[in-house]
Amino acid sequence: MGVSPAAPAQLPVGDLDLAGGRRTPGAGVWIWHFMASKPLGALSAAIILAVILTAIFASLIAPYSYTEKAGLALKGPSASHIMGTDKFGRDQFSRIIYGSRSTVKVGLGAAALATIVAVAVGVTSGFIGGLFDSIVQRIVEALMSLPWMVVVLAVMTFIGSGTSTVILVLGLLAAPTMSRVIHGATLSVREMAYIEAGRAISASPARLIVRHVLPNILAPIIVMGTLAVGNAILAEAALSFLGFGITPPTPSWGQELSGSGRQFMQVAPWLAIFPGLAISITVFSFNMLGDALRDVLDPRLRNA
Amino acid sequence: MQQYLLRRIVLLLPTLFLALTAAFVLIRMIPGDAVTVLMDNSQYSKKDYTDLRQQLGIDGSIPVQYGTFMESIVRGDFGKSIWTGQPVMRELITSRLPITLELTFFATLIGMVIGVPAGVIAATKQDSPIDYAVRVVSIGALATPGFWIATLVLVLPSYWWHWAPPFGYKSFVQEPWTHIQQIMIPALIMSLALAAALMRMTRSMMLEVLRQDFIRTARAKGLQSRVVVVRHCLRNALLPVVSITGVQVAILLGGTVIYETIFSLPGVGSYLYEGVSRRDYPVVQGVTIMLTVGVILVNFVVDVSYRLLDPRVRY
Repeated sequence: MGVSPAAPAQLPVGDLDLAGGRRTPGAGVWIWHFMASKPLGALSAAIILAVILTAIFASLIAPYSYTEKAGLALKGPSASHIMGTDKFGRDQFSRIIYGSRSTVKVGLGAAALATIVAVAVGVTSGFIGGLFDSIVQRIVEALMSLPWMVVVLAVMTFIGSGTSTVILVLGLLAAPTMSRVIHGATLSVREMAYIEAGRAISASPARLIVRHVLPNILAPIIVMGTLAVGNAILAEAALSFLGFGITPPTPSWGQELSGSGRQFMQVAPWLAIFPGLAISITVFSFNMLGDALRDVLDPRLRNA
Repeated sequence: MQQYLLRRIVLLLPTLFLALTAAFVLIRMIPGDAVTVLMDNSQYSKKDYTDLRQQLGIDGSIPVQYGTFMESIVRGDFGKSIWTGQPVMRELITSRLPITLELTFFATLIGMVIGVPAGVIAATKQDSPIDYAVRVVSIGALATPGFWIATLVLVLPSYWWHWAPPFGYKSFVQEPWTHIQQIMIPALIMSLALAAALMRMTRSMMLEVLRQDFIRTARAKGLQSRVVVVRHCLRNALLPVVSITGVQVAILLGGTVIYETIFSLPGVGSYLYEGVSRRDYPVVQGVTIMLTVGVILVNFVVDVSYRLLDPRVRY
């Protein structure tokens, strides 16, 4: 098979037992250690927390509502509108604040869905092995070779858009690549002596998976899940940018940049700059956090 | 080699079959269908309902639809566009595909030309300011949406200097200089994410290979540092880089939807965009099939070139 030598993602029997059990350091100690060794990762985590809180408390933070005509149209940044106003005179800062809701919803939703599907497929396929594994892995390979952007648009055409569709489709399309890494991790854990010991005392496969496999592959799951959020946010922004993602009037960062507003951006470039910055900073934070977590939790995954 | 090629080609068929089946399932799996959405949004009368379903090949049960879908692929006939009445396949091959191939080719080329050397330099000067710069730039480029950069490229020069890239697509024969600008600007922007991914991959692979015994041996022989890096190290580090390029080309092909739309290039991507906007199902389905097949063929070429590049790889 055309399996690349780089692919076999390596395997985590993390030294850090996140699942509890042995002398695991308390959460506070762990967070302190993480902040000290990975300052950029900690900063990213803080930014992510801020974005999530913004999404939850958008109505308290935003000075105006996202539909209200709050001032003159197409005015640059000023004291009352720190990011300027758009073509309808709506406050861009407020729209970006409210826009974080779609970003957080789609980013976390799609990544959660992808993680659940990827873990279910990757772990069962890897744990059962044999012919079943070969068949599932061929299907995963086929899914990985789909050009996702194209498939998303095709699905949107056939069933219409909307937040839940976006989450569903982006989540399902991100799952195959993720399941590949989890599959690799499962394969190595499966060969461990403690699994054999579990079998020897006739533990059921379900118990072996839940009690012994999952806790030991938690590190790559967390890392892949974090990175998946960033990718889902980028994908949602691209879709909304094309006009097929989150439907107006609900604001979303990608949609703020969409093509229909471009003639206004040429006279009001702040309309193009701030939403893009919001996307970049958020995605950057998720990627940095993912990288930092990988270094801390599972150094062997670095090349994945 | 011949035997290997033959085996690889035979293996290509199930992959194609599975990927296309997956595309079919994803498109039809979720409730609601083409015609219902179309009816909601347009002037079609109820009378057209069944005709339309039949024309789109979604009138039968799911297995029948699947048969129609596969048959159209085997025959290479994706039907006619609802909007223009033109055969989708002919439009794709004669006017759309060349532009997209040109764009993707140059984006890949630029991405490799930037990404690989930057990765090599970063690895040979590990933890130097250059290394940090390369790492920050690459992780930043991966987080920055390409469509935002493209928007800024269109918006900012026109705000500051009243300059904009030439609009209205011209072929190379008509106006060579206009054509070059029209292709190269989007190709450069498209290449950024690829360059970033290649930088990271090249850097980490180089770091791994640089620590191997044969590199120490080569240095001990008194070979020039450049010869060691390029001939001994890079050749070995490049293999995984080649494989990641295959994956990235799939992303680039999907990304053409965005860049061709922004820069109004009439390629496959903007054809898909038009198809989606007008709910022109035969077009959407045709482009999906064509790009899926395209991506699988790219991966096939990557796998085969692997074998050519590295005599150690045996299957």
